[in-house]
Amino acid sequence: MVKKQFVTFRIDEFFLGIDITMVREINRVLDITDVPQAPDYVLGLINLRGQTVTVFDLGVRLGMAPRFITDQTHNIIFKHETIGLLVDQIGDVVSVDEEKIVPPPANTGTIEAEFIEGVVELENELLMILAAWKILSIDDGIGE
Amino acid sequence: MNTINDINDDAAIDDFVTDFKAETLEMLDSIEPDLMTLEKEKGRVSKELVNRIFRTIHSIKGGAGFSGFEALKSISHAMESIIIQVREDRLTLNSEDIDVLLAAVDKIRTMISDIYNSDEISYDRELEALERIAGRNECKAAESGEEPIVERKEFEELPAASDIPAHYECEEDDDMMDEDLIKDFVEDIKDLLDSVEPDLLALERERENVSPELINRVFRAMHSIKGGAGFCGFEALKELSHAMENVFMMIREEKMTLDPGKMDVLLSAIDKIRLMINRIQTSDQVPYVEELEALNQVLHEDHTALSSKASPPPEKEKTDNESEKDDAFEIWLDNQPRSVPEPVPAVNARQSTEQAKSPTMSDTIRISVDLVDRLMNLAGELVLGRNQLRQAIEGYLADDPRINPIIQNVDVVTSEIQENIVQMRMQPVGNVLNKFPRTVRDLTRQMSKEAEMIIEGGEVELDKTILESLSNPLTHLVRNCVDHGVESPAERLAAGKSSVGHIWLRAYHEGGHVNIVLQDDGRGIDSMRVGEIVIEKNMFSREQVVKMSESERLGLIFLPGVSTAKKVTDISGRGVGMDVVKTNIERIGGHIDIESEIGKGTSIHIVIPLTLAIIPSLIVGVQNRRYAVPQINVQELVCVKAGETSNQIEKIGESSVLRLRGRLLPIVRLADIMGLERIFVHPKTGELAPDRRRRVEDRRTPAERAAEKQALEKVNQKNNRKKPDRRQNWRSDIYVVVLKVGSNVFGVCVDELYDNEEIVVKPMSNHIKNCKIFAGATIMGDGRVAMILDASGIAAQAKLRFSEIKTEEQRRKRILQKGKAGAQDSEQQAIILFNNAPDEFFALPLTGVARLEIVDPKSIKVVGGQEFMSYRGDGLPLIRLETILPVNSIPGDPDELFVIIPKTKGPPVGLIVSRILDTVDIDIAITRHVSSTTGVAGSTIMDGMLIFFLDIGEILQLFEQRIQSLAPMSDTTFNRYQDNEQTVNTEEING
Repeated sequence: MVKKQFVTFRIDEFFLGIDITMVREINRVLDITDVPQAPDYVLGLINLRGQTVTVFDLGVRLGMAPRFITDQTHNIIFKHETIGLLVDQIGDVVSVDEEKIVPPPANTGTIEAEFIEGVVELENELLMILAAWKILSIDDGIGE
Repeated sequence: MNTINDINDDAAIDDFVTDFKAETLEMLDSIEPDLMTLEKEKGRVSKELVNRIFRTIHSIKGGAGFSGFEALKSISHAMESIIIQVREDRLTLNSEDIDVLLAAVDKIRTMISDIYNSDEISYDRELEALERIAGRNECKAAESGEEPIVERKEFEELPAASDIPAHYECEEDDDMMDEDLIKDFVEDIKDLLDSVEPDLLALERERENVSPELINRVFRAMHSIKGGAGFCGFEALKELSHAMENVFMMIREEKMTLDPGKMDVLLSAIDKIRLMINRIQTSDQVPYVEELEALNQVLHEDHTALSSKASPPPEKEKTDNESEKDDAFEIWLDNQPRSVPEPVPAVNARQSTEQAKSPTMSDTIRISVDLVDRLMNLAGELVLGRNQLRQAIEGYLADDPRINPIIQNVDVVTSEIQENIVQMRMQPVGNVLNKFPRTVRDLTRQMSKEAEMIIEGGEVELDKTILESLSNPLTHLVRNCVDHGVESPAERLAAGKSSVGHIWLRAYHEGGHVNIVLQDDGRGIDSMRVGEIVIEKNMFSREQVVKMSESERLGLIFLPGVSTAKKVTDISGRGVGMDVVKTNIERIGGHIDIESEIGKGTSIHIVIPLTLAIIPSLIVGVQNRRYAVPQINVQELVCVKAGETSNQIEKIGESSVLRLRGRLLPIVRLADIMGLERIFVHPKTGELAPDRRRRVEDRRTPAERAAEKQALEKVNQKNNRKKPDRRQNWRSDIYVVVLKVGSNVFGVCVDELYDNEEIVVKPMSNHIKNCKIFAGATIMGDGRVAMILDASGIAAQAKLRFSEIKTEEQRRKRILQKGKAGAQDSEQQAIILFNNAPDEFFALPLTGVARLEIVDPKSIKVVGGQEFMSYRGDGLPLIRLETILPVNSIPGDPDELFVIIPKTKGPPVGLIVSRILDTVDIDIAITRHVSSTTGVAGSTIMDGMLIFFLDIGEILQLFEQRIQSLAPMSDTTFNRYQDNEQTVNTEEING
């Protein structure tokens, strides 16, 4: 059985996960410089030890309302791209049998279905696994 | 093959082909996804995408053509021909077509991976398929101007790899040469070759009176190459350099003079040597028969004093026919009895290589660029760290006196490290510029033109990365220059120029930037023609083009798809070149401008920063946000005092403008550009409140102000204390940063001005690449990220109407000048100066003249003693001055006469004069002579001429009297005329 680990977090009531191998770090660098005229999901830039990281409002990216920054807010920084995701609350790292991951249901609530790669039933909750590539992809307005 | 790659990978080897290889591979990687997208989008293809594909292919073609990889060139040419049709919406590609294109991309990739043998890779199938697609459209629409690709035939005859004579596949040297030794040898020879080439060109120029020093230098270089090659056992290289050495020997002994044909042979041999050097381990397998044969022919020709100079340079007959080649090979063997086992003593060879090596060994080392780049980044971080440290310990400076000297020391050292590393990356621009004389020479020969390139300022230094990315655009420009700029010798002579065109390439420092100017004395660019093309292609409307200034119209040439070339050639004409040039120059933070005068030549001005890594910037603030503005764009800072806003800022059309020393600059608010809600700092409370002013120049109307004042007074009475008007508060001052983008200057209003800082540019993520108003991001001393503003992006975003404002500016200038002139001399008036008899001058006020006509005396009809000419479909009665005034008559029998039609109330009359001389502004101080006859208002002396001012009213009166004195008139025209004259005259009298 192949186990996969996911970093879990929350956006509103949704319980989401992202493949841990894609994550460089989780931090609370919230001194964000906004970038006027950037796509709405781009919150701004942060300084991560001398490197600039573009932070996305994951809520907006997934088609929901903009986030409010609270004392629970965290950034999940990707490993290979200088991009971070701002989330409401960070959860545990969970291990999941790869076989138990099933395709997402047709109805994923307010989250746009294309961002969900699969879902897995945990003990008491449904974990939605994010399609990281889709989040990182750039819509240049051609397809949308 | 591995060894070649190893050598090629060595970053120290700076070679065009290596660059080209790497670039092309990169481009191929980018083109594939683009092609897929093209397939997906089909009908609704985005222009940007097609342009990108087109540019990429064009660059590959250009590079291949330039480096002489024929197969590569023709396949990419075929691809380009397809894409150009797609771009012009004449062709839609289906999936099969994309397959073909992708297959072609794969083939190019194969060719690139073995570039030197690329001509031997078969690509007929791909080419055929490509042509089918390109041709499909031609069948459909016969009017399409696309030429079918014809080059294919000649390539079918290319020899297969097996054609290379087996003789040359020498055994690899077994006694393993020291790798380092070979590497040194390679480097040395490269240096030598680089120095030989300009020397050769000089040789060609000097011809007869070659300086011995020059020829000796070339000879020595060749000898060193030969010696080194012999020592290291590279036979092919040795033979070739030996043959060249022989030729130089002849020249040295003055048994031979160089002509362009021989020069071609020598240069192509140099190229072959270069090629061998690049793949030194397998150099013996490089076919070089052709060059060798040509060299020997050159040698033989002069040696046996056949002096058949008319025979074309052998290089031209590039027939790769096998039998001929074999023949040639035999000739060569006959001619070279001593060539193969040439006993070059090993000792000598070692000496010569060491000789060449020794000066470079002592004071320079070769470092990989990668290492310098890393060091550069680290230095950038160090600067950042220093800034942060300085801010962090600012508070402790007073507490401990030891800290300050330490921090100062760190300061100095850090700056010096940075400067030195920047210095390390600096290279003289000559490295890039010096290859262009050769380019120009080859191109001019190819096109039977004559041109000379003059390079100045080759010693100016530039950052290596900038220098590298400058090479391609400059090549494009130089190519354009020769192809379109310089005319054919005949054309030049006809235009009164010397038959040899001149191309200047100058580099110089100015204001912290490097300027590169490429100038030619060719035919220039017709900006109207550029305009026409743009209109034809539906990029702009005629109206827009007409409104543009000359330089704006010339600037259109940088748009994709615009070319003034009438036909597409190998060298240029597709209209991509200038687009690529501009894109490339702007990518390195530079700017390009073009000036041209028809018939006189074109001048292209490129301004580029010294280095990219660290840019001095001005930090400005808008609503608690900080932005960096590169100093290169900042022209000056203007503070508009709160009370003076209305004097300095106004509105023209839709734009706010700032009046600055007689100039009008469009201004924008940075906050508006950013789409931020405007706020102001309340002067009383220091709180932030939304700013309700809609425009910079908005101020309350006097009525509102009065009302406000009253209200304020009431409040003051209540509070019993005085408050200054907010608008007079210093916080309401407006700071304007005057930015310069090319020739356009505009102002940006900001809230705060901070210090100048040296910032390190951080790249922007792809997600925010579309924000054109930013050039990048940086990290400030306090650790926060700040965006770097892009001046041209801001100008574009604000849709500044430069031309409109410029027109207004010019209009005002004119008024101002007029006003000045008027103030100096209020009595000035424009007059028209003419004569009747050649020595008698007359004048009329220009304001009293309705029209001027030229008339053929033969067409003047005489009716009842009165002359008439036809004017606007009617008869115009003509007045001859001599008939009514005591003046001399128009002499002789002139070919043409002038008719002045004065403004009259009634039907027009014409005043015949012999010549109209000029219109001048003149003082109206006219002396009215006592003796003045009727019809003459007075006279004045100007430039020694006595000028009589005519009184048009009186003249008409005289004319009338004359008519009446003529035989009784029944002509209705005259009656009508008389009636009307009467009224005019009454008025005159009354007036």
